[in-house]
Amino acid sequence: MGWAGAALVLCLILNALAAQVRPTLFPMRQGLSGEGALETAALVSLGMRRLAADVGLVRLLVYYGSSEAEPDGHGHGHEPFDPEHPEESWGGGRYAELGPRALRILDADPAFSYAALFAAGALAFNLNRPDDALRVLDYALSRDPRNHEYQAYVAAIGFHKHGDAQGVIKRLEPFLGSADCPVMIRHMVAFLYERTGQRRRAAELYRGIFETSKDPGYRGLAAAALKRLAD
Amino acid sequence: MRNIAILAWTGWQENLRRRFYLVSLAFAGVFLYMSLILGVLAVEQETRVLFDFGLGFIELMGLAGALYGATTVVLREMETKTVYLVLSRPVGRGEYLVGRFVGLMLSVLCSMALMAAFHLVILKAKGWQGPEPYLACFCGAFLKVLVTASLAMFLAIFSSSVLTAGVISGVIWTLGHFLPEIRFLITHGASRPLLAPLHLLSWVVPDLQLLNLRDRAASLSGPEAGWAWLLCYAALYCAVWLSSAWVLLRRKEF
Repeated sequence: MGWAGAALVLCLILNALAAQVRPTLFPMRQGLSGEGALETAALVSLGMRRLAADVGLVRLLVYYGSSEAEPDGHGHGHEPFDPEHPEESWGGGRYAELGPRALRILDADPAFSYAALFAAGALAFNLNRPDDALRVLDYALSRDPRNHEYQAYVAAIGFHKHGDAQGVIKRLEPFLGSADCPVMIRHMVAFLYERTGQRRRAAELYRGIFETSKDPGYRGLAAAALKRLAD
Repeated sequence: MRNIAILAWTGWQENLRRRFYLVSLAFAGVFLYMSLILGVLAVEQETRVLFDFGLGFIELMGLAGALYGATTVVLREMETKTVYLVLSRPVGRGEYLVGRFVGLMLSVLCSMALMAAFHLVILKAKGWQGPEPYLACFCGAFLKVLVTASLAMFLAIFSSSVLTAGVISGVIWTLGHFLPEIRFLITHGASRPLLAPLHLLSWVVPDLQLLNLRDRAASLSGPEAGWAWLLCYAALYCAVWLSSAWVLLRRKEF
C-alpha cells in the first residue's frame, strides 16, 4: 500500500499549497431563504455561485415586479407611474424582502454590484426607505470596499434624504454610463434633471433609455417623457 | 510516446462515434435555448445570466461525458477482452492508460469547445462584450473536468464498478467546490473530534474551487493564483491519480 500513501501525501502537499494561494471565500452570513434554499445549495455545490446569484436576481426582479399580496389575499394594483410618488406605481407596498434578498445575492457573489445598486436604488428612491438602502450598501461595501459606485450611492441617498436634487444628480452622474447602473436610476436622474430645469440633459438621458434599455416598461416611460418634453 | 499518441488517436475516434457525445451536444443546445428564456427574465443582466448559465451547463455536459468515459473505457475493454489486443503488442500498461485518458480528454475538449462556440455565437448575438474572460473560464472548467476524470479512472479500476466510481466522483466534485467552506469550518468550528473527518477530506479532495475561474469574480480579496500554478496543480493531481490507477492496473492479471 506504499503507492496509496505516496498518493495521499502528494494530495496533501498540493492542497496545503492551494490553501495558501487562495483565501477562504466570504461565508454566507444571511442564511438561505425557504423559497430558494434548494436551488442555491445545489448551484453552490456544483461550483456555480455566480449562477446562484443570477437566479436570486431573477427572483428579486419577479418579486419587485409583482404586486405585493395583502393579508386578505388581495394584492395592490399597480398604478400608472407618477415620478413624484414612484412607490405608488409599485403597489405602494413595503417589499420587506427586497433588502434581505439583495444581501443573499451578495452572499453568493459579492462582486455582483448590479443587485446591490438595484435594491438600494429601489429602496431609497422608489420606496422611500433610505435607511434600508444604506444597510444594503453597507453590506456590499463590507465585501467590496473599493467600489466607488457604492460610495456614490451612499452619498446620493444622503442628499436625497435632505431633498437636495442637485446633490443626488452630482453624485450619480459619473456612473450613469456604467454597465451596472440600473435603468431605474438613470430614469430617476433624468426626472431630476427635468425637475431642476435641465431639459436638454433630461431629454438626452430619456433618449438613451428609450434607445438602449432592455426593459420595455422604462422604454415606455422614457418615450412618454420625451413626448412631454417636446410639448 | 508514439504508442500513447496512437492510443489517444484511436480512443478519440472511437469516442466521436459514440452516441453519447451527440446526445450531450443536443442536450447542451436545449439548455442554451432555455438560458435564453432565463436571460429575458433577468432584463438588464441578460448577457451575464446567459454567460453563467451557458458555461455552467457546458461544464456539466463535459463532466458527464468525461465521467462516463473515464469509468467505462478501461473496464469495458477488460470485459470485452479488447485490452489483450493492445497489451499483447509492445505497449506498456502505463502507456495504455495514459493513451486512453488523453484520447478521452481530447474528445471531451472537442465536445466542450463545440458547445462553447455555439454559446459564444448566442452571447455575441445578444451583445455580450465582457468583462468576463471567456477563454480563462472555459479553460478553468476543462481543468476541473480533467482532474475529476483522472480520479474517476482510478476509482473505476479500484472498485471495478462503473456506478460506484461515477457516484464517488460526483460526490468528490461537490466536495471539491466546498473546500474553502470546509477549511473555514475547520478553522472556526468548535468541536474538534467532529471535524476530524472534514480535516482529512480537506487534504485529499481536489480543490476544484481553485480552478473555478468562472466564479473568480465572487472572490474580491486576496491574491489570485497564476496560470502556471493552476496548470501545475491540475497536472500533478492528474499524475497522482493516473499513477495510482497504473499501479492497480499493473497488479491485475489478464
